[in-house]
Amino acid sequence: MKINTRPFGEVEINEADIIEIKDGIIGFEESTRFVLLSIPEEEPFSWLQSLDEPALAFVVVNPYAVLSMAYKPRLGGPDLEALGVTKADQLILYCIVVVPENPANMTVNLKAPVAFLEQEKRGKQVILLNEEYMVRHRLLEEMQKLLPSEGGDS
Amino acid sequence: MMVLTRKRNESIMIGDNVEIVIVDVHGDQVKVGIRAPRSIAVHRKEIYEEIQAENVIAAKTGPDTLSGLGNLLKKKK
Repeated sequence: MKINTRPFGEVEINEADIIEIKDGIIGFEESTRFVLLSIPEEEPFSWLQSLDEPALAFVVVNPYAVLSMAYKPRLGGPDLEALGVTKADQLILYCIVVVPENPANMTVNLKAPVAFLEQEKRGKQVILLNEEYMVRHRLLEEMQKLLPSEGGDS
Repeated sequence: MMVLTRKRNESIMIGDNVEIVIVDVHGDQVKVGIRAPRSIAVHRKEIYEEIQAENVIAAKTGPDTLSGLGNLLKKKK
């Protein structure tokens, strides 16, 4: 099916890729159907695009891709129950990124990732129990902190 | 809004299965214990409002393209 998207205009998507977020993204409860849009040039970032509101799209990043196993989300009972899982590792997680004019200052919301089941594509913006995670972490600094440089050039 | 006065270790029941216990009081800080079924989400009000505000900013400020953003991350590794 064809949909209108904020970053790429009209694109063709597979209906099976639609993620149903019943409660919406917090603050945007009226949008409940989303799709992840990824293109190689933008990796590891993707767009979480609303199908209900073409102008609504969030920049997201897979926290494990940038913070590796240093990211240890602890989900509360209500969130697990709402998603129908028993453990966080049964879920795909994406964190919402705020990219300001100077992208070096981008921040990532580690506290409230969007979680969904890979097969069933049911999702929810969850609120983690981790007290150490905030809604605004400077992503570049966080990567440095959690992944100490091995020294030397890449 | 209903207002109740409670002392340390006293509690309030909300319905049959939510209990709010006043664990400790120190000056203007109150430590509250909440006993509730797993299906009931308990969060500080501020965190919910913070997430909402951050989502609004995220929805408003996204750039037109993310090309090149990944390079910023690589430089830091």
